[in-house]
Amino acid sequence: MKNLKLFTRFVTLVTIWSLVIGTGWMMPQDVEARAVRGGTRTNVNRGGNVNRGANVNRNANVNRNTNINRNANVNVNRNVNVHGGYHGGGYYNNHNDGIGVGGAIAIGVAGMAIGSMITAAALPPSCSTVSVNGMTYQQCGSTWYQPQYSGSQVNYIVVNPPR
Amino acid sequence: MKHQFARNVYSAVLMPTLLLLAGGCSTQQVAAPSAQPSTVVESKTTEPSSAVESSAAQPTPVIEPKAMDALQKMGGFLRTLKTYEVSFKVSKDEVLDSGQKVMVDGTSELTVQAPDHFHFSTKIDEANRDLQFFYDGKTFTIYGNTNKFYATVPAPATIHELLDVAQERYDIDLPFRDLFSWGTDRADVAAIQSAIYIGPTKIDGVPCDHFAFRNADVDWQIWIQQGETPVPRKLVITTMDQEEHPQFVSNMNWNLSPKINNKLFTFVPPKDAHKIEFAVVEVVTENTK
Repeated sequence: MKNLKLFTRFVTLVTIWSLVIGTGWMMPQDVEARAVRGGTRTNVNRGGNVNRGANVNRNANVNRNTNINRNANVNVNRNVNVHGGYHGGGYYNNHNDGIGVGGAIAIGVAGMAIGSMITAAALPPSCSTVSVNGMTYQQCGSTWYQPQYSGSQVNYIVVNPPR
Repeated sequence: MKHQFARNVYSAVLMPTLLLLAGGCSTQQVAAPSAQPSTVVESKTTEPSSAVESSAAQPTPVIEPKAMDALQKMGGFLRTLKTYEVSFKVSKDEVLDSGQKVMVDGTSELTVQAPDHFHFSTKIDEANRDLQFFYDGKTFTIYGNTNKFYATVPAPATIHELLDVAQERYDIDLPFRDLFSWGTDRADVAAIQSAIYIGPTKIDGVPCDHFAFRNADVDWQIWIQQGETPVPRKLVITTMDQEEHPQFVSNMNWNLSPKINNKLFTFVPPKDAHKIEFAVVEVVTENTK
């Protein structure tokens, strides 16, 4: 009987802890993964001569200062699925919000196509900032990313290793 | 002994269940108030409705000259300002993919020396945003206080032109752009479909006049300070061409005689900062690629 008592106590503890831990690890993950549509206007006047009906491409001008990487002038279409967490750059980027952060691309891993773009939140955990010929890169294992401001958010483009 | 067992079973099985139920109850309580209005609506619709008729017949939009005059007066005054600081407290709806709206708060500081200098810093914790923008008439720089990345580009000669370039070429629509549109032909005055004076009120203790405007794509409200310095003290923009009608709310505090250090406008990279590039927006009119 004493054993039974101990057993049931044990079950109680395990149940409660699994509840605590179970919800615990889910919470921050959830918050991190929120995708934001954006599009909230912060100015009344439309401004500029922006042709909003047109196909807008981003010309990334990747690696224009280096002779090592010939992958220049990568056109990143806005409809490219950018993986990331909270679209922190949405704040000013009225027109930059078509970026789908729906999680179509997994965390940046080796083998991503050159020219693919991810957000900072999707960078693998162990990367180092490396400067090559005056350009800034993130090296994550064998994959190299070039950070760039897209609107007021930094995105990372997969590039050929610069060295 | 059997009792003891039962008690233990109770604590093992029922306790978590109770916990869950308690959780369920609390969410139900939260949901309850929002359910109430919908029943009110229901009772309304059963009555023979005159409300339906009035909504069907679109009231003709009103453009009150008083409202348009106030806007013009404010714009004219803004264009006379040379050196000033504005502190912003902003709230902005972000629309999640589910269509749910969440509101994030932030603060910004703008320092202007017209026509060709500004510094703008902005912080929204929940959106991981902590940025500075520098413009000194020669270059335009964005710097992330957290990630230490900066990008610098050559800039046009005036703030007005820079705001256009930032928006068109670099996809950065600075949220204070309106302050430089009003009083110029960059203000879409012709786009205003409705303009009404709501009434006098106070914003942060300062007497203001409250106006409501309607454009094709935005409903917006502005609170303009009464008296000799007709600056906007508050702005609310409701984005109407988005299904969820997200809002942007900005409260402004003005200092029209600040002491400014000129070094503020020119970016000097900190030792641990990294230079990166701006992505350039390319408007492709024909699908040649």
